[in-house]
Amino acid sequence: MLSTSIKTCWIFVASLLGFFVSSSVPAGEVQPDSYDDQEKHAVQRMILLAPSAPFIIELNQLVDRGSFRATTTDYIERLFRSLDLDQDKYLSLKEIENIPAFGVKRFDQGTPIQRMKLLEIPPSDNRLSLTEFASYIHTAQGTAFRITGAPSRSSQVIELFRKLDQNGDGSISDAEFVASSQTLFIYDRDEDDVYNLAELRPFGANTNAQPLVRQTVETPFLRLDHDRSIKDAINELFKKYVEYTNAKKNALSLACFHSERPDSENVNQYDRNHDRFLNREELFSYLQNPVADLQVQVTLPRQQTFRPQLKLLKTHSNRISDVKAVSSSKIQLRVDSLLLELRAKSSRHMFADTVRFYQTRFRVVDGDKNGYLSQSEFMQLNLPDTDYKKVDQSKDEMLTVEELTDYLIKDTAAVQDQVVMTVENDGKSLFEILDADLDQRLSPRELQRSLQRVKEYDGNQDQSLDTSELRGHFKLTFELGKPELFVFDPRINSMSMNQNRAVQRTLTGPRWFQRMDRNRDGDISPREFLFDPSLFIKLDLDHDQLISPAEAESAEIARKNRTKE
Amino acid sequence: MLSIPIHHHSQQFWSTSAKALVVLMLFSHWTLFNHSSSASEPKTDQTGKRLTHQIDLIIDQAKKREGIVSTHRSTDAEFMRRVSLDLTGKIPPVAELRFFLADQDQNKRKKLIDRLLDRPGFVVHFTNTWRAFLLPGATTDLQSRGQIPEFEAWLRSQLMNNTRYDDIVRQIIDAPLDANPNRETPGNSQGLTPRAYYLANQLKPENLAAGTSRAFLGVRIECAQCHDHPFDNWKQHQFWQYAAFFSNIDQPQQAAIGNTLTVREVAGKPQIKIPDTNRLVDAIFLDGNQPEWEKEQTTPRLRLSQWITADQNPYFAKATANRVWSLFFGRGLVDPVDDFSSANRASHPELLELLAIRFRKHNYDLKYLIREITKSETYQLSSQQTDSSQSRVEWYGKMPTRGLTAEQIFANLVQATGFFQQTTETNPLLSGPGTNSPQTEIFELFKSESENRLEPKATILQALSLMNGAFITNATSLEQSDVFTAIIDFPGLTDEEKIEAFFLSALSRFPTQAESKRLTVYIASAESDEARTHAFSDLFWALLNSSEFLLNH
Repeated sequence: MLSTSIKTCWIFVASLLGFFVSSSVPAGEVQPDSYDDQEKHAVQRMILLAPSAPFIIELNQLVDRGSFRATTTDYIERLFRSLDLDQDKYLSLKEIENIPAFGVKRFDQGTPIQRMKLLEIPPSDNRLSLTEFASYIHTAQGTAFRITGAPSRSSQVIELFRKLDQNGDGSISDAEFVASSQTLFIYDRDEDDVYNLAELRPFGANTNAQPLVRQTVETPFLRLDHDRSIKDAINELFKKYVEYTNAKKNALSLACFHSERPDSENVNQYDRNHDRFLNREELFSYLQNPVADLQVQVTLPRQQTFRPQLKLLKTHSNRISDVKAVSSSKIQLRVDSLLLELRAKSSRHMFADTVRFYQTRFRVVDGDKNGYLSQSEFMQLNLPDTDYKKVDQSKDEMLTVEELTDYLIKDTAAVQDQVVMTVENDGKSLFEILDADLDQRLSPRELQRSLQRVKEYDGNQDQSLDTSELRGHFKLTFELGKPELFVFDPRINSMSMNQNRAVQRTLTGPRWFQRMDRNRDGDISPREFLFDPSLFIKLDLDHDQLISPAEAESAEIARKNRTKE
Repeated sequence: MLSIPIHHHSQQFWSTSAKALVVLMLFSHWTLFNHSSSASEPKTDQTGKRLTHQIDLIIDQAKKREGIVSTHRSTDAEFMRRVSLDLTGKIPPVAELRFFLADQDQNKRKKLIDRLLDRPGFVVHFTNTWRAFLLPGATTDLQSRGQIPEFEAWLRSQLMNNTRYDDIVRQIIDAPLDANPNRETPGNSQGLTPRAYYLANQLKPENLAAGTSRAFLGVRIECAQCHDHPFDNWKQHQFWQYAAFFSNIDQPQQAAIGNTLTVREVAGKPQIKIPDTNRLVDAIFLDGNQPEWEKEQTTPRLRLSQWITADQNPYFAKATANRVWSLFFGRGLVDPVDDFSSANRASHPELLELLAIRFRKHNYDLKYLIREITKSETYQLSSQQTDSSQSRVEWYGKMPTRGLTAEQIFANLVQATGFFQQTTETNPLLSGPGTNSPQTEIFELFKSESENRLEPKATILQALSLMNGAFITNATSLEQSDVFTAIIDFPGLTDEEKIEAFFLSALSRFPTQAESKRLTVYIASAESDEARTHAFSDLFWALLNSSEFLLNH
């Protein structure tokens, strides 16, 4: 009897944890000092790779008015209790045999004694406390916070900036803009002189191609919590702020971290060798506890009912401007040239929607109406990344609606333990700036005029455009993790319609002009011209290597006049 | 095939006999055409050691031995059309053609070859060509078809970077079998893999053995799958020993829609059981050597890829050089290209050996091989037959006339008529029947399983479709067409200049004096402006339906 209940319990635990096993596994997470220290526990730091220098944001995240990490802790406690059979608040050697392997190599090996040694935090007492157990679970499943990028627009995905920045110095010089046609030439697959999104974007970046798969999009926001995330952030800092690196490229100048901040001297104490640079080691210890430029409190409802809130606690940097509290859950501010729009949002309704949606789908796909789903019927449910065997708990090859509901509730509950920050880049991409006629293609004339087009963005007038001069606009949404089984983003669909729209024939100029303009970009290039090149030169009155509708029109008028004479 | 034209035009009032006349005029030209422009490039390379020169030397020696009389050198127009079709998969744009023909540079042909090799069209055409031979059945198999876009994108990126061919082959044979982990990351094209090669071969060791040996080694060992090879030395156990290199791949379970297929590969010494026997055989290379698995600490597929592409491999470089050769002459030095055997000797063994050595020496650079072949005088001969000995195509007395692939036919129609189409992420020719677009219509009509381009067979349906189909009808109508209307409407052109533009658009050459004269008379005989327009329409229609347009010569 007892063994059956343990088994049942384990099936529950295993399915509950199924989600996390596949998630990324951070090592060496920075643990909160004490479980009682709620304030500290609720802090989540992240770094924004802002155009001119890094920017530290401290988020105080509360879920149901408690620390956002407590949510995770509740769950860990439940798990702990289910393992602690003798209820002595410790897991003995015998009890840890039941801890499943989470896929963390350094913890999931050896005999129970060896494993105990690995999991224990010294001093060793041959049993696991809740804190020690939690440390393991934290390590295995990731933190209670996640940053995710919203699907980018195609024009952002193609990274035109990087393509045109031939020497890779982080900016596009005038010369590089002038050479843009030659630089992009190899991407012109159909050789029509015009570059559309399909030619420029990397394969698989079509946002509409696989709507079921969650996309991980790079964002300039990086978490600072466990060792690995800090190390990742350091790598990105070195890549991003090349101008602050020392000659050996192994340290970043202190100036990179105290621009425009009154208390900037705090950073200096981490420069142990007083060389005015922070090397990787020094950076590592600084980023464990960095000086925040901005402190924000996020309050989200989980089981309680209240409106999500967002509060600006403190600003410490002169780089922040135009702060505006739009509503109790929305703040807008500027960091350098970047516009940040922060928003807290409740996603409680998504939970019920998903379950109901799949319950309805269950009835639809149950073709033989026998009240349960066979493996082939289950496949029509299209539950992403879900195995039939995982859902069919009784393993009788008959998946009932109760089993499905049970699975969905557990799966979505596990997801809801995380606070997710979704980053959406609403800024204009270089492609959008250059695409003057908004036809989602770059024509020879648009490339020819690229220099003029970007002039207004060259803020420092240095005849070169860097990414910071392309005004960024980031929307940050804080909410509890949404069940990913049912993803619907209306924006994706509307975008795809735009991308597939037919390009209309040129409607200006005489008919021969409209028809000779085979790529429909509104001009005739030398490559499109069908007759003797000397005629092209004659028609191209302004000698810009393109015949415009007006030039064609004037040729037509001249001919008519000649005929009259 | 053009004798009964039924050209349904909205304003048709010209008799069919008038069209037949135009066709006849073009036909008469087809056999005699191109004497106009003369080629003035020096015949031999100054160094005398270049591969291109040695190709000519060996081919000429063989011709002498066999009593083959060479035809004359191709005209510039003939050469440009041919090399554009061979390197970029389509006829040249009129503007480039005019520029090339007017160019007085002695080295303009060489420069043109270099230019074309750097063009995106080269990458696209060779992606199509290589995909067609690597995944031969994939276009017709619905399950494999879904894998093509990623495979093409991968191949495109390899060709764009001019990756060494041996490296490309190693990547294919040792392709990661798991679903692409980076595919979900837009902005990152690094994660593309050629795993489609495995999926198209259903992950079956016997299919993979047959496919890799044909494609990369030019041998058909699959004939020994069920019994010892009937004409060659391959034994049944040798086939299965080779197939054993793929035996560690686990057959995956069926995946749900939207879920990615996960393929596992087990570790351990690769072995396979010969079907219908109790014999278990180890993985052994075709040369009889067996890897020492304990010592080598490597996976079977990686080890096989290293063996296939090793400099010492007797087949790899030769098979590749032979295949590349066949792309430009319609037949391999060993023909069929994937049938290297004692019963099927090379026509020019010395040349094949030389091509392989140089290919290896130049780091398996496909562009090098292509450049040297296309710069040879052998490649630049005319396709016009001047002596009966030239009908023996294997001795290269003239350039053989070759059929076009479905992709080339569509690309030519687009180039000639100005039909507008946007590049999409996937190859529209692969969307399959039922998709109502001119691309798929042409592809379905002209697709061919045969790699042999020397005997192009036109079907009645193909001819009828080109003569009466909506595509050509629109392309030659004033209301719908692009190129046609642009030429007709352009101000201040004489009839001769218009005829010339139509010839350059469709046939990539100027009309001969005789053609020009006869056609001018023909156009001038029209009694009204409307009739003149229609006469031009019939001319364009006839050019697009001519054999000269539908063949690579």
